[in-house]
Amino acid sequence: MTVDAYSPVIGLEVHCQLNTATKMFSPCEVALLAEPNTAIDAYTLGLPGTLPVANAAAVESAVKLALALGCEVAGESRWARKHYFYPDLPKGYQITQSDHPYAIGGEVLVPGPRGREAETTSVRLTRIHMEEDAGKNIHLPGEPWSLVDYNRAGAPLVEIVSEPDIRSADEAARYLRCLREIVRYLGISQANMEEGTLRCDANVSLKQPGSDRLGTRCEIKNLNSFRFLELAIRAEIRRQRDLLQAGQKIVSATLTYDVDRDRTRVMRTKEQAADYRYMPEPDMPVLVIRPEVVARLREQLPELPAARRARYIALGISPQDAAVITGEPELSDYFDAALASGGPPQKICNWLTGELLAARNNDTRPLSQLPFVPAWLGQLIGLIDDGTISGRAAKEVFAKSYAEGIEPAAIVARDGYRQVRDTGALEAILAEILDRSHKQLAQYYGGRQQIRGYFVGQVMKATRGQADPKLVQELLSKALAARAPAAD
Amino acid sequence: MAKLDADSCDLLAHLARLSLTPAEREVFAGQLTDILAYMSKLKAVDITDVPEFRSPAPPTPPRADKPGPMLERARALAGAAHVREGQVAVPKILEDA
Amino acid sequence: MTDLTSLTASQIARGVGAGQFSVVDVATAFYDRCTYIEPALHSYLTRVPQDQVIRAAKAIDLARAQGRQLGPLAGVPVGLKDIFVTKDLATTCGSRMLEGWLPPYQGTHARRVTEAGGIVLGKLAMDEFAMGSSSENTPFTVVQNPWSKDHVAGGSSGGSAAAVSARTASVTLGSDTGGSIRQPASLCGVVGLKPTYGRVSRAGMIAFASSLDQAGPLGVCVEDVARTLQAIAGHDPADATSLTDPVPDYLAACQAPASGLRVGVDRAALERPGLQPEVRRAFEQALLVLRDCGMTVVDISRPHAHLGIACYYIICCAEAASNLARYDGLRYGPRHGEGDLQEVYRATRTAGFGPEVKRRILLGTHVLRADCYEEHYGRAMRVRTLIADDYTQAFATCDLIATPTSPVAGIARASTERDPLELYLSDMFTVGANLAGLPAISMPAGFGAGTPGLPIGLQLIAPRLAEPTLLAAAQAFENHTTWHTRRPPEPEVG
Repeated sequence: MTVDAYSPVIGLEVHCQLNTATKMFSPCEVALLAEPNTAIDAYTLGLPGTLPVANAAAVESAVKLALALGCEVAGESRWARKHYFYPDLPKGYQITQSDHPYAIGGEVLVPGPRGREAETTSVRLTRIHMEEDAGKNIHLPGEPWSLVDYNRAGAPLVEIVSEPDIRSADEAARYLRCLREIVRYLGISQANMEEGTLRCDANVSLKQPGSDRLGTRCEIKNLNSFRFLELAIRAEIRRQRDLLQAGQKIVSATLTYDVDRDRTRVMRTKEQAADYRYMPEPDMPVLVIRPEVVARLREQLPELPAARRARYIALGISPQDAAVITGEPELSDYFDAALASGGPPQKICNWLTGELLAARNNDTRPLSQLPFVPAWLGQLIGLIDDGTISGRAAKEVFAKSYAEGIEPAAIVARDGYRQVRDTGALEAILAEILDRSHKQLAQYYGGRQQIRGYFVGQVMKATRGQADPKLVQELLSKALAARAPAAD
Repeated sequence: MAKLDADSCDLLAHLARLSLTPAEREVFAGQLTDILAYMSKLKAVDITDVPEFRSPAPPTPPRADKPGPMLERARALAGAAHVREGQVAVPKILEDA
Repeated sequence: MTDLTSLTASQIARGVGAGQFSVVDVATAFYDRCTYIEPALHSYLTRVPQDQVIRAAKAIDLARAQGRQLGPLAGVPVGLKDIFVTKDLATTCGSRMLEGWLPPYQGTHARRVTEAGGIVLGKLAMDEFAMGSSSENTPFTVVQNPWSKDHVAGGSSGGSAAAVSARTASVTLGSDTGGSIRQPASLCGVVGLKPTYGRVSRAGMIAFASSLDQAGPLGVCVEDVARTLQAIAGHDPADATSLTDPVPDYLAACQAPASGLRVGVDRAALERPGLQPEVRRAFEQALLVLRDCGMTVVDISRPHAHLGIACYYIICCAEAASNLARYDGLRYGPRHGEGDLQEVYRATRTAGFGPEVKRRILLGTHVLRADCYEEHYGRAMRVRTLIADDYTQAFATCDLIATPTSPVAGIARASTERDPLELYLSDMFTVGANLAGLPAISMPAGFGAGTPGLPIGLQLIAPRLAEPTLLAAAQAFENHTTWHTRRPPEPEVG
């Protein structure tokens, strides 16, 4: 049996924190970066007598996500309690959705790997449900205490559960990136793995060669970066493969990924699994999502990244560039705005993904707040195309325009970037240069063609670089031909 | 109905994070067995196609996403037995939930 | 001068409005009476200090002097069961688990009582976390039945009923999960009303069993109860299960005619073991009175009524086990245990909860286990649907249902631990209204034969949100009887 005979079967559970002003079930502000325990109210702390009331905006955000992912939105769904004792869980249970989630089914079309973006794969979704987040435990190294901060407790989450349709660690990461992109386009979450507003658990099993049956699945918890997600899945595939090859059985377990050793470690096995004692949440009525609301939210859905990519490719943009542009909703919006104000798409794309992205590397401002507005890209390209400025000058014009927030045409006029294309003037300059360059002329006519560069350089120097180089070459050829000594 | 023996009583106590003395365990196991035996009368009821009860409360108006009153930290944590650096201090968490 | 503590809340509110006496006089009279008889009665767990009581009273006097509109409880001294969260006033829910906790927020009930002009006198005794029928399940002092020091006040709102009966408060708020307002009202000879589920907010009422809990008033007469309900009823945005239906005028409802109302009686329920003959006799007498009021008595049947107790205890224990998971000693309340986290959880919860609470947590944990859910909790929630449907069908042929409230007149103080199941069975007449979410009232309807003769209660149950019908019938019954005018003997003090 070869190593590759086992095929990995992977499903992801993705938690995404919604960016509402207040928490899922109480009017307490969500403030991720606040000082510990300064974004809490009586409900957040689980004080006796407090009750949950669902945040309408969180529900609407969740519905938008469901619609964007093609899920069926349940007209009636229910809340449930999931019980376990943990210091960051103030009530001893989490309000979540269990048997009756608000969204069922759906699909994510995942672009292929870099360079093969068009080779999409489909990852089906089982469900999405809403729930409240827990607080944070801070473990103090070398001390007998852990400290608990409840700021995050009660923050609104959606959990997106995929079918085990993913076949590789790389595909898992692409799926997650794709989800992140969609969530950001919807504007419902920061979806930032480093900040914990996007989190991921992975279920991994190996299918035996020639078998239709899924293998025993193990769940890797808390994968908080794209890199760790890939590494952890690869490590888990190795672990399971090694066990199987050694003739051992896979025991259903919950694992954690040990970065230092690059291996997964069993936290608990299924037999030790907690009994969460799910029950219907008696404090909450059935969650009713009316068809009118669904219809309204559907109308409000923005154009999603896949659709935008298709549109860009139809304009002649390469799939790679289309993927780069749609990687960030702001970039794509910027591109669309630049397109709208005119200009050849491919050239706009080149400037956007080239100079603009480079300039933005050292810039923290959001694209929408840049003084360099999208329309200026088209203007700049127009100035090059009609020969007003040279390609080289254009880079300088861009840099100044970006830095000063002045439109390119104004920079060109102010700083004299306009190319000299006056034939008469250039001929006069050229004649003067040739008149005093006896030695160089002799060399040229003696067969040293490279000396042309010297003459062009002199013209550029005389015009402070603003002469149109093509025109200079043209005039130079003419002048040299005219002065050529007679062939006697 | 199955008798609830002392061992299952221990499991329940563990799930509920309670400690029972051997005497308590005996007493509770006996009482819970009696109570569950009484409750087994529900088994005789035909519940085919009967939905779980739901309070007929109409859905209340949704809560707008507007911040309400919060708790000042010192006041909020005044009742906590151990507080350090504005956080609730608990014995070091070793195992996972 | 009249003893102001002998007045009804309605008389007080009217007297204050008319300027017959000041709120400070009323509050002082009640405060002094508490100081005098509380050492024997133990209706309060926590009393509001005198200066605060007087300050609150002066504010109402000032409001009146300024011609501001006064609320339905203007100047009425109110006691709150210790299940209601009161900002900066100790709230224990009758448990060691919350000893020393000073809530940082005000619950809806305390706020509405105060806004209605009520003067909060303190927090009343109860069974721990409202689990019990005798108010004996508590690590604190046990409230006495004002009619007999050898008998309990009932429970779990024992302090609320005893306070009204002994006039240590004019009206009180209690909570009712399976009869916890009505049964002590019955045993103490006062009126107690459990509103429709959702009619009164649960926000700020410490949860026992969320799908059954409902707050309600106790008073010496129907009008007092109606007046207090008026102050606390209505939608609360902090409780997603609170009803948005407009609140009717309950005081006007008391004056509405009751003649012609059809009162349903389930004769089969009267044959159940455990119903004392003297209670049954009083109940039959009460039916005659209802007829005298112009109502008709019709037979009804509730085929699933006998399943009520089994269904109720599965559901309430499950919800209680869940609701009480938050008590871990980390964020509030005393913390126990040295060593690791699990030890702190266990030690805190073991020290903090009494035996009845532990019993219900264990039972509730059992019925919610993944492999038991469908057999127990799921099944109970389906049987609950059948029980609720029984009421719906019964109300097709009647406007109200009458039963005794408590099957017994008087429960002697326990010298040893009671048999829990036996005690659960005594809720047979009251749990139905909670399971179906219906409004129900208990009112004085006679006295037992012994010496002392202890109060017996009549329960009326109405369809959802038919509190007006309930109050009209109750007022008519009260107008035709004098039971409610009897006062218990003054307690032996000292």
